[in-house]
Amino acid sequence: MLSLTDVSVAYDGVVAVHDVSLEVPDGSILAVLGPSGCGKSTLLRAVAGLEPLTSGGISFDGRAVDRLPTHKRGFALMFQDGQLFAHMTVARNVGYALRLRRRPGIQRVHDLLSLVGLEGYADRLPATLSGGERQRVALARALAVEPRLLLLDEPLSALDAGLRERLAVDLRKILHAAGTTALMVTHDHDEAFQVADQLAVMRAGRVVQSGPIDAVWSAPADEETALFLGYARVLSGSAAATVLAAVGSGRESRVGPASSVSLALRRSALVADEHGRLSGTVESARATPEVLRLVVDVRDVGLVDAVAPRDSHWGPGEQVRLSVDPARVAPVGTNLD
Amino acid sequence: MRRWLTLALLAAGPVLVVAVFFVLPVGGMVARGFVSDGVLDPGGVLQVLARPRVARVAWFTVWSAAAATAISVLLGLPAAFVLHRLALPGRKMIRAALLVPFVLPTVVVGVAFRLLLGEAGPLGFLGLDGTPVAIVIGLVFFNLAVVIRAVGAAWESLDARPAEAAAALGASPVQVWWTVTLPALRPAIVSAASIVFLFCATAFGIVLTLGGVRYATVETEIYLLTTTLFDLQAAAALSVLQLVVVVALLGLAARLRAVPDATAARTSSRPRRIRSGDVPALAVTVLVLGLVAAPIVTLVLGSFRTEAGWSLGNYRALTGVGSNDALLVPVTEALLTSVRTAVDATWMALLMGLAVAVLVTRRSQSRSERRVRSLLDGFFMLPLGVSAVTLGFGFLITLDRPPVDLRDSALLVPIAQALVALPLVVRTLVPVLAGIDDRQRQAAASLGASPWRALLTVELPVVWKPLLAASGFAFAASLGEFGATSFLARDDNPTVPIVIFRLIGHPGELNFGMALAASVVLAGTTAVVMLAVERLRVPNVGAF
Amino acid sequence: MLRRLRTISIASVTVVVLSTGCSTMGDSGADATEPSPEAAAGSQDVGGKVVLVSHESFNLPKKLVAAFERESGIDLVTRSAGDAGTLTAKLSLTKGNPTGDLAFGVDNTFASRPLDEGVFATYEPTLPAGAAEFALEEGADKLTPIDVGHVCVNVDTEWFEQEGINPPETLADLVDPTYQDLFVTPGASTSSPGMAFFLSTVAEYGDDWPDYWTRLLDNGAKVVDGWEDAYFGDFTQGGGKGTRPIVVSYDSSPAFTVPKGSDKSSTAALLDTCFRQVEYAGVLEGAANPDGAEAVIDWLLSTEVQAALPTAMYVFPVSDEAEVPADWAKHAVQPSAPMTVSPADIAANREQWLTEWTDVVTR
Repeated sequence: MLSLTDVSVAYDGVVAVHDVSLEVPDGSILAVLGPSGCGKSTLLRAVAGLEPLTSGGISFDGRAVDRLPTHKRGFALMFQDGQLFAHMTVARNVGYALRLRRRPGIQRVHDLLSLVGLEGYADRLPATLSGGERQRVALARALAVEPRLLLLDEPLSALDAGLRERLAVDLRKILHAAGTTALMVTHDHDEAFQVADQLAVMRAGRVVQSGPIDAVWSAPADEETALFLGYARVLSGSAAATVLAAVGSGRESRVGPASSVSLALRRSALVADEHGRLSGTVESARATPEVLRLVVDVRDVGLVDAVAPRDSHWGPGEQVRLSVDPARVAPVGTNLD
Repeated sequence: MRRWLTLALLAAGPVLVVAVFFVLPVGGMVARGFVSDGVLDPGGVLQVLARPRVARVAWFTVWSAAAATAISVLLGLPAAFVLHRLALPGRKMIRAALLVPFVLPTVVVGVAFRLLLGEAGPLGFLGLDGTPVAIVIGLVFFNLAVVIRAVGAAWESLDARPAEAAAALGASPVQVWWTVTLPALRPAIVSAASIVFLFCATAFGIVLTLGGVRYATVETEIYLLTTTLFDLQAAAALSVLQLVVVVALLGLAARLRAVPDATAARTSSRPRRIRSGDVPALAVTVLVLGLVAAPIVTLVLGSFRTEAGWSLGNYRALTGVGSNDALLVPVTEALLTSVRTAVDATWMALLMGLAVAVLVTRRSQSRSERRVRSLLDGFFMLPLGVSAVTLGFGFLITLDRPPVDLRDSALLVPIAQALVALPLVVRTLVPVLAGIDDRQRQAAASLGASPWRALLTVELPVVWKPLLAASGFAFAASLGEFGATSFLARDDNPTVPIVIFRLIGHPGELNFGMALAASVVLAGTTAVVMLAVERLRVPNVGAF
Repeated sequence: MLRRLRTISIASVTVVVLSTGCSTMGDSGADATEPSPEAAAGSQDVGGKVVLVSHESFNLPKKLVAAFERESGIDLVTRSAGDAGTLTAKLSLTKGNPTGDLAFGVDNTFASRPLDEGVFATYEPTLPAGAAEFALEEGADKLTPIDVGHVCVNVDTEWFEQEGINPPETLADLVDPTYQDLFVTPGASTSSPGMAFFLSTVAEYGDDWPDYWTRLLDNGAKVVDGWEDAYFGDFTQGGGKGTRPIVVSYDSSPAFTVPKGSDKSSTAALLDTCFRQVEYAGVLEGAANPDGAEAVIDWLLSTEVQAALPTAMYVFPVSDEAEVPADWAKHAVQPSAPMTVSPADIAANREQWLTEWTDVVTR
């Protein structure tokens, strides 16, 4: 298990990571999610041993590692753009760590290449690979010696959307198959959800919320976190109360006194439904491949996003009734430790 | 067709200059050797090569140059790391100062080394005076800066992340160095080493002064054969041998230098703080600084010593002509001549160098085009590897008739110096130009930019700083050039190295002191120029 | 904006540098012959431009040159580079299409070859009193003696006084163990005085010179590249930190080592070890201005130039009429019977001697 205790890192007196404490249980994948410049990459580099700590401690399985140089930590780091060694073939890249440890590895290299779906690529040079292929090679290389911790720095963000989604699923599958403990940093919440089990949200050098991914997702700590997690709008005061009132009774109990709560809404939290409890005027409607996206001016709430079935027709100025999908709204600020 | 025309136009200028001022003279001199008594006699030349002395001389040249190159690289790498990668206070000053040896006249360095290593010198107990070790140390002294600059520049722009990735995969610092950093630096190291080897193998003055008569290199042997023994045949044989070796070496270097992808992403990484693990590299750097500083300090101290004790007398005397009229013109005037000559040599070298660099870095469309380009690349390196004596005499016997009767022209000196500086300029610019992604030019063209306009928008912003840096190099190389200049300069217009040589050749303590003071002034001028180059903060400069 | 300013300032500096004569371009034609008023007036016999080719030690007072130019209407241009060997090689290579009108500085060790190759045209001026003694046996009609110097072993008399040892006197003394590790000489193959010293050993020992040199080296003699190295680097009176009190130098050298306030030189030349070097001047075959060249040779023999030679070039005049400076008269003694080897012998054997010598020295 990786434990970070009050870790701080500063560059030239400017604090980049501030008192971060985190734990990554064996076999689980923790995603550190945050906007760029929030210090998440610095945190990852600190765990890898590439940045010295200003204060705090890092230990693995109870043993402090923050004094160990990078190569003695037994971790593996996979960079955003792979950082394959341009002068080595794919097979030599993958077998690199094996050669460092003088372990025979031809078979292992081939197994790894087939694990990442790149059989037959052994003799290619990195310059001839596509972005996705390079990331797969980088992953195989990182997994070669079964690191006790895999560090992933935005492993998928350099790839295009379709590829990213496929590779994210693969990545999760491969990591789980290998039983690898992993710490990944990303600014993309989709990527985090697709790969990780645990989530830590970081902002301005501090971890603002952490926990199992569902728990964080269903109860963002504050408005900014909610927006960062992909919620489209956060309502508060009477607007929140109005929407809350429209939610079925099952959710109500979790939310607490209606007056003090903020409510985060996903873009599909409100659904056009002739039996819905809310009503408003359509401001605009736009078709997407799956649904019709509406912006509706709801009475007592204001402008909100809503969806309607793909085959329905809505135009600006029309009156619409909306129901609330309880799974797509989350109370904000109730989960603060 | 148009491509070939552009290629030919760009190549025409530099090729013509090198043909007239290099190929023609050297060819003329060599031809003299091949013709004996009016008959072509290549057999006689071959016989020369069979002489045991030739083998001995060739062997000494090769091993001393190889040893000096190896030591320069071994000492230069850690120093390059420390001076280009670590946040060492004052590293820019140190980097500029390290270039001083590069321009010091060899005579002066010889005297300084002898003062240092001689029987009574502070290092006399080592017993190195007059040994091959002294020669090798001298060569290293001159060439360390080349390695440090060339490799340091590459190192500075090296992406740190592959090394971090390797460390994160469990590679120890030593393993990271061998498996990641060294392969990435290889082109720069090979490049620097091949230049240093050429400089060492054609070193003249330093071998003469430090090796005495006991050790002859191909270069000193050519001098001896031409001027004392009048054995032009043997001199020609050795010149040809030298050329062949140089061409072979350049070919080998080009092959070793080749990388799969020249348009490697170059970053400019922040120098990092010094850690305890850097102590060995720092120690080597201190050794390097000591090696470079010791002779220079000896020089500086000597320049302040006069008959009346410590004083500025030697410097004040620089406005005069020395005791017993040792000089025709005051040293200050010679300094002016030096600067003017260097300005001319610099623009000539830049103009040619830029054309050559653009020429050899444009992406080739066909195999034959690529071959022509790489041949041209090698062609312009040749002036580095040929005896200044052969070239100097060649000027006399080939450029003696109109339209090229230039034997008396004042332009001959800057032209010769520009030829010497040309390879430095080309090697500085080529990596930068090669690093420009062709797609940038295509993007400019697609937006409606003419080729010239594209050059201005894409190349110029990237290249202007390296260009200024290259001019610094050319300027410094020209300031210090002695071999060809001593042969071609007119005595009413001497440059500072010539004047220094003259002062040392005239007895009298004032003259000796003035020679040292003039050397210090020359070194100082160079250091200032190089510091100005440093201030331009060109990250990729000097990757020749 | 700032960046733009910087670009502009750099550009303007470049322009200024190039245009304000900080370049050789401005005066590349500066020495193109501008006929002096006298020459234009046609008041003289000769005139025009005369180019004198020489080695790098050639040096005469500016006043003398100016006076000569004024009187003769000649514009005298000197081109000097390299040592005597380089000069000779240059003359031979440019035979027939010379770079000048006359040459000065070919000495008796090099004279044979350019004479054989026909580099020089015939010109026999009237020699001043005493000069005939220095004329060549063969080729006196082409090469005119101008100055004479002797390469002699010099000793640091102060050092020997302090050590209480008698200084050596002859070449034979140099192999005496008393003088072990005390002698330094420039190499014969790399230095003209080194060659002269070598020739004095040839003159003294004939074909047995290799044996002498072997013993000399066994006795710790040091062989360095050039005279500068030997004198300034290794000689105890050379101003540097030399440790060797015996050095190969010139008969005139003691005149330069008179300490301030003293009237006695701290060094002395050993007059029994001297080799004579005579420097000649000659009109070049194919000269553009042979008349002017002859006038310059006459001038070089004039009493004023002859008298100026010691101070300007550290050599003695060939003319008896010229007075040497007072300190020379006092401290620089010329040997009465120097050693000589004939130019023809030197030319015939130079290569073999030097090869053998190198073998002995590098053994």
